[in-house]
Amino acid sequence: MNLKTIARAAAAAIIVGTCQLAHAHAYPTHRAPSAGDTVPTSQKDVAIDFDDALEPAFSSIAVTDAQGRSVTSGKAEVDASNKKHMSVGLNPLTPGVYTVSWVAVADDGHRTQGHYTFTVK
Amino acid sequence: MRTLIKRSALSAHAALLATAALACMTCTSAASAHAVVGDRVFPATMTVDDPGVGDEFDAQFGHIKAPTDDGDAMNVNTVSYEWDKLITRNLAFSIAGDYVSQNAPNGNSAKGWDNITLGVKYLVYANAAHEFMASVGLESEIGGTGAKSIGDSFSTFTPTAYFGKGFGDLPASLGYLRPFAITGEIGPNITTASSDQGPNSLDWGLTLQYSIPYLQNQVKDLGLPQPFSNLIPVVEFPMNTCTAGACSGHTTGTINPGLIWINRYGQLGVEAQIPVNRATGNHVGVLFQAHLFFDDIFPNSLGKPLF
Repeated sequence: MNLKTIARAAAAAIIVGTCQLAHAHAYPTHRAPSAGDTVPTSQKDVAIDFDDALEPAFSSIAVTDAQGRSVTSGKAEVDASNKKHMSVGLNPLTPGVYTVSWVAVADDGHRTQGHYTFTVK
Repeated sequence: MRTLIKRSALSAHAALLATAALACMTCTSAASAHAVVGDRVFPATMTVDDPGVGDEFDAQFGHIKAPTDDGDAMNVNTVSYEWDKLITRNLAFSIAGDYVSQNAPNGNSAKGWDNITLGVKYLVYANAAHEFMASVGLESEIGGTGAKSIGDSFSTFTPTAYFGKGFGDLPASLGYLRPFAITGEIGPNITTASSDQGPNSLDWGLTLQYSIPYLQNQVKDLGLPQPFSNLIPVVEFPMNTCTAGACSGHTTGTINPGLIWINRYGQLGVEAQIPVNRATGNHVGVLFQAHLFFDDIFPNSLGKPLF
């Protein structure tokens, strides 16, 4: 393998490892509550931080109980001052398992989704 | 899209053809797609293609020792490139090339570009709820486009079916199994040569993956730090079964345990290549990968469909 090939491979690796300039699929970097968390009944909201800015009109968070009923107190909102942060308020919760379903549409139109559960005790 | 190991033969030119085939195992004309279905991201596995289509670029380096006619071990180093381009959201075109360097202890060394491989691939079905994808494609290795010492003079056409299934639809009681996924591909290699010069064969392969990002995002956030939180342990099983000529019925291939580190812009991978039988070889090889997701790096230009 010659030096040019090594250089090209290294360049690709560097791009993969450090590129922070381009918009892309948005994935969560932090969730509260997180997947598999146990939280008290006082939990007021579900908040997710993403690694890219979101398009508010098409991004959402739904939270449902074990019977599939919504437990949110309104629509999810993308923070106007930090478009990488989305949250939704919760109605008072009773002990049980709840499912978070999120949809994130980044500024470039790429759509990602995810589901996870947390437990209220 | 990725070209599996091409073919092996046990004819008069068996050893040389076998080494060429083994070289092609390491060359694995590369890229796999950035395949997203539901909550599942199928990574760009290195030797068995994933079931998606995408705008991406793949570079791989492989090293393995292959048996020669005399029973010696020949070093085979291969550098592979592949560029995949979306024509529409579900249809991709690809072009791939490999540079092969074979160094035998008693001469019989060769180096040069292998034949160019052109491909088309179409995503026919995706089911987000069950994390399932299926695609079909056709890969065409164009004979005579590579160096005479490396590339075949005949062409080979491989219609291929691909699938992928994530296990995110398992019940909550099996939560820690949900990050598992399997992918596979199968396709006959149909050559334009006579059976003793270039026998037809069947490429087939499977992968088994466990996604740490999936575990942490969808099942249980264990708080794993980087780089572990972005790792996908994988085992690939690229295989080739000869279907004509003197080698008919014989299978060669490798078992490739490895790790893929993935982020939103691409991935890095490393795998061992363990021969499954003596016909494949006696030495463990290695594969390295650097892969770029153009749809994430250049979403408004190179990384978006033409139509």
